[in-house]
Amino acid sequence: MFRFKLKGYYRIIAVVLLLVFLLNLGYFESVKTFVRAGLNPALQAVYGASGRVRDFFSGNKDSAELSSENDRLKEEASRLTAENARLQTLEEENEILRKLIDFSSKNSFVLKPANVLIENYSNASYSDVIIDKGSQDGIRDGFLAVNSAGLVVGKISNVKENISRVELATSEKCKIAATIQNEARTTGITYGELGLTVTMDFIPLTELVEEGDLAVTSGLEPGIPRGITIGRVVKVEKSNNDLWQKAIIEPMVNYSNLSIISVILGKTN
Amino acid sequence: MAIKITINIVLIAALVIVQLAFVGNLPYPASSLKLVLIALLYILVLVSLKSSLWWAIGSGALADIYAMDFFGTSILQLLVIVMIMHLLLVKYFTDRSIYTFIALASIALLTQDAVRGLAGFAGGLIYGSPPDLSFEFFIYEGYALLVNLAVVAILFYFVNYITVRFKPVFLIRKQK
Repeated sequence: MFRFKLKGYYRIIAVVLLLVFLLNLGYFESVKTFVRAGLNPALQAVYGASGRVRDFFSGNKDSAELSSENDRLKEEASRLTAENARLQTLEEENEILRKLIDFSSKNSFVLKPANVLIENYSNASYSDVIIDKGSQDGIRDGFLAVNSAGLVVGKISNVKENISRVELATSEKCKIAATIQNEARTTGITYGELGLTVTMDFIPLTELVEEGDLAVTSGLEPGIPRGITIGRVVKVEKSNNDLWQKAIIEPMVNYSNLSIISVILGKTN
Repeated sequence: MAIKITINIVLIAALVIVQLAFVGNLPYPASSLKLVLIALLYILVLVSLKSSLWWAIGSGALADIYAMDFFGTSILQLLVIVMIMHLLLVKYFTDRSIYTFIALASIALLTQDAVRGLAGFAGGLIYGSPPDLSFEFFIYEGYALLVNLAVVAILFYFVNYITVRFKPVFLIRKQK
């Protein structure tokens, strides 16, 4: 019975498989770009709405600040109208962009601001985000993404015409050449762990790394300038039998609150 | 017919946008909701296998447009899940009770996790990182399953309230 019922669907499935094959060969890429161009604004709007929902719930979870937060929110709620809320959102975006321009001009970086469309596409906790800028905006694999304060968010790991994937610094797939700002200027490669922290491994025992030291990009990778802050060392793991020590770095970016990020395209001449 | 297709395309797009941009950004465990899978299950039982397959193709294609590595993973995954659910529905779960829905949803979710797990394992081999099989991982997956099943159950009672489709039909022999 089941076999008989499926007979009529063989053709559909065969056509789908053929389309999947052709699409992976690169055909119809313009169709995908066109569909994405149509969907991106909707995704951006829905992502923004979900951020507000999450902020609402996460605010309620913090019982220690609940009372004062509640008072403040009550006061705000009575004062703000819907129009004010809309203007506030615009103002926040403006502030982020202003900070980005400030960061860009101070460091002579060419930045490409981008909206976050999808968080967590690969289904692992906080490991990647999809942004609405791609190769047509000058973004390439391996470029660095930063937030409005100029802190490392992650690295571009895959680029399409009008979208890109940013592998967050806390993802194990994100490897960044870094320097710890200690006396020895320890250099190494950082990688993410469990979507929570960043680790720098294989540090010689002779080099003194302390809690509180800053980890920054070393500039030893093409396309990534040096001196961009990744995070702060919170723990150093070593034992006498080991040849190496390991630094656990806490990122300074709040990954649960990403809406606009910026990709460093290079330095201005 | 054209209107029906357009409505379906708009609904599929809306569902995928909500799944990708809204649900994924919610606090855990709400972020583990699989709205597309739940929708496919209800379409399969309430409408038809054909509709469910088209929805699987449509929603899978839209999700795959944002997949950066390989186009077709979501389509194939959803097609396989719909086929498995259909097979179980016609062969084993012949009624439309809440137990059927819970069982089918559980199998669909576990199948998706298994496929993703295998893909992750393959990716781990490429990137040299071992798969995450820690206790926390299974706790995470358990909570995700519970959240999805709770939604399936709530939807079941809601649909049961507004329609008679799930209610058993008794054939009464006419007395001669």
